[in-house]
Amino acid sequence: MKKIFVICWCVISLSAIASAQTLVTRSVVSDQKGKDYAPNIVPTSDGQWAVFWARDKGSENVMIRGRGLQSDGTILTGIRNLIGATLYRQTTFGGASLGKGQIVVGGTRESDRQIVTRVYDSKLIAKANLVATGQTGFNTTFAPCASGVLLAWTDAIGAHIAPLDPFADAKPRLSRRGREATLLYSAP
Amino acid sequence: MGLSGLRVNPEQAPAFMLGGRGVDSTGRFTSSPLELPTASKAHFLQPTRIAATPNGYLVVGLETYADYSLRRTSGNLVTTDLSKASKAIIYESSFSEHAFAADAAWEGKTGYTLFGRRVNDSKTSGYFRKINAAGKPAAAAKKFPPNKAPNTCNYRIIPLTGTGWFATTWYDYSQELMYLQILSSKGTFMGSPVPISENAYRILDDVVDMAWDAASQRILVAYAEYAAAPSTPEDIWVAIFSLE
Repeated sequence: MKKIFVICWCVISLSAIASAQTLVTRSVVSDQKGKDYAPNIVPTSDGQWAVFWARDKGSENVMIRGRGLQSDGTILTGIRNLIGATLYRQTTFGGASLGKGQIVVGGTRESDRQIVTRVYDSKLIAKANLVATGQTGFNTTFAPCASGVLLAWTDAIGAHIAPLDPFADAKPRLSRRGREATLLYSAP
Repeated sequence: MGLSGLRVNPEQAPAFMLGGRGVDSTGRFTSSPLELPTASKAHFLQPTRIAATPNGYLVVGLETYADYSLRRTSGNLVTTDLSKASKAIIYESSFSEHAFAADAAWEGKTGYTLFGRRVNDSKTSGYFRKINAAGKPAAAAKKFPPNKAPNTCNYRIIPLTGTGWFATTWYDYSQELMYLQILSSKGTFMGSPVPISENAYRILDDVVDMAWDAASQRILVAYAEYAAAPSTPEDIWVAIFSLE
């Protein structure tokens, strides 16, 4: 009797395991009008996600495009152009969740090979200006952390990791004394 | 690549203080971000993934010669305050002309890394390897994918947070399909591999990303494929799988 129970249990268990992952839905999210590749998918808020990818521009350049969707596959936004700068395709680009409905997307800018990032909300509306990190490099790899986002990359002397403040921007900022406008940050 | 997608749940990730190492008052990096050492000065690391472990952030990637001629899978564990990086952790000792981007993930009390290399035009060697919280190998490497398909690449793994399991994917050159399969914390693959895409048109290299929605128990897979063979415009798709 015990053996029969064990056999039945095994059969039931294997049956359950066999259906461990089941397709719910599958849909195209790009506009089917060009060469799109290298998608990333990151959470924006509960049950909502951002998918972004490279649109080939030729001559080793790409633009980053993306759109929002729900975990049931429902499309939330139209296709948006992200970053606002042409990226160098022979590198990686990526992004990460910042929590609270925001994400950061970044990669290597084509014009100067500098790593740039920009913050977006769940509707893929930019929430900050483009941030130029001051570092040139490739293999940009992002990961969220409790206080922001980590960025690892490779440059001419090796690989590095650093925390990134994705809300830093290129706007002129007044010094605390307010006597004169001081550009605290400008892209090289 | 990019790598990215939901590798770390922000609410569960180890905390560190922004404004510490690596960020100056303008929000730019300082001139001295933390360097990730390799086993030799003649090599450098191409990061492919940052995975959170209980002991810090594990950066895995390809350790390559300066001329990119040979590569192998290695990584570094970085402390949660980003003050120190470990020496290079070697997951596969031999260098190869064609090594694939490495991946790693941690869930519950267990971590795994996936990696592989091309042996010849019709054979690859893929592996998964259990790691400890320090990012170091905790067991011998085992063959990956579990169905032992001989011509695969582009291995990916993410934690299915809250389940103790992982989702893995790989691309099968022979079938021209990307597959998804669940890996348990004990290193057992469950069920049969499930094709991610509908068409047998080639899925582009290194282009699959995955994410896990714990609330709905769903796995989201983003991938690119040709609309029709051969080489018409390449489209982005999202496939959603439920975990039952």
